[in-house]
Amino acid sequence: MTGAVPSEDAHIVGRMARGEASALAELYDRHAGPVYALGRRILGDPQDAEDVVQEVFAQAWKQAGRYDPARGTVLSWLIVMTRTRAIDRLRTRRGRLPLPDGAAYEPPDPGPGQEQVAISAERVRRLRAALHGLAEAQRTAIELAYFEDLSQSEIAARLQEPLGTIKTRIRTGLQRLRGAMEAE
Amino acid sequence: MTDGMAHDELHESTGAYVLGALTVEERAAFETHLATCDACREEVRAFREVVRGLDLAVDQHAPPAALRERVIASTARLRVAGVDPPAARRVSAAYWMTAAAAAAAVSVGIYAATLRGRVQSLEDELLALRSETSTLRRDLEQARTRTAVAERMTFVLAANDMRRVDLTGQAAAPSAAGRALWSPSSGLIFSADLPPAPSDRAYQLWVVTATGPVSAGLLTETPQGGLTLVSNTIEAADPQALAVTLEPAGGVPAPTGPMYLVGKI
Repeated sequence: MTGAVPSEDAHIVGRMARGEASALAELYDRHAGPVYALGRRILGDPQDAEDVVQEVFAQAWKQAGRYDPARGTVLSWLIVMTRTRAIDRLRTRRGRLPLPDGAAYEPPDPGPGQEQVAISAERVRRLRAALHGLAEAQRTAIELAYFEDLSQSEIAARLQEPLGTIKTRIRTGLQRLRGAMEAE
Repeated sequence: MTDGMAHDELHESTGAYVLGALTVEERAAFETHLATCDACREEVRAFREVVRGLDLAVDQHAPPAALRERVIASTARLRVAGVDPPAARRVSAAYWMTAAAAAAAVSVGIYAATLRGRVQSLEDELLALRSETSTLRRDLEQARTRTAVAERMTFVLAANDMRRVDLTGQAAAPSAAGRALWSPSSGLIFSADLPPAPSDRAYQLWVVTATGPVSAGLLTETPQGGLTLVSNTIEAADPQALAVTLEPAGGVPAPTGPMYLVGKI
């Protein structure tokens, strides 16, 4: 998945733009895994995650002609769509507006233009290992912020900890991750 | 809470900022801080790099096998509704209405996603522009200084009381030389060839008057290796001579060091 040759992915998306249904099936086979996994991580519910996968591939099909390889890999394009749709659902579930609503803003996740360089499988493996190497409390704070769309105050309320503690946990956790990723 | 956010507290917010865990108000306060804090800016950049790929680093689950068929089938319906040639046109009007509504719903979603991507890229642009602004501000400062110097030189050169004063090397450096274009009404342009000053010393130019020396300022090194000074009008009644001495870096109110150049006015 992550090691896919970008030009091959881009070629598949090009065929989708010309209406080739077989190209969609190929794209699905290459990338449905991480799309589904991210949907599940954000939404928790497998059924919701399946709906997100369906929406993302439908959107990819419709927008195939607008995909610009210069702005990011196909995988990152799909991941941005997944994140957006999953978080919209999460907000709907919480009774919030789907658009940035004053409670929390869209995280600066790897979006188009920021990720021209493909993320290697090796990077993902190390990131996962580094994340698991964090103290439980730090990992939880980071994950609640990044994957569950909670603001630092909401995290503090949920964990019943002072706001300052949460801020520090997030920052220290990211500093540790940085150290782990910069080592070697 | 946000109004009173102290610097330390702001500094602690780098992580929450990068993960999108600040409220709109907190974020605005943090970004104001970010514009002037290099350390936070550096950390934000580093954290952004760290979280690159975090979306992929979640626990992997294989999607259920039946999902593949559902995705392909639902996309095939879209294909008929959206982009297919005339062959597909025999579908009923009701189908078209449904398809149009579905397409509209999808475009709203797409629009939201586009907006979001746009906000993100605008934020990145803002960050880049802010740092560019501070660089430009520095450049502007420098340009203003250079303009002021150039202007002063023009005044001196054009002044009708401008005269030239040649300075000759003294015991400390017999082969040294200096020259000044001096206008009591407009200022002074001075340049000299002198041995390089030690790092803790600087050459200082004096206007020697009947009542004692008046500082005209420190000489600065030019990229070409010479020493120059451009000064505004110097308050010195009854000037007799110009002299250069070697003094502690930063200069002194009255000469203390060895004399390097002297020239009678």
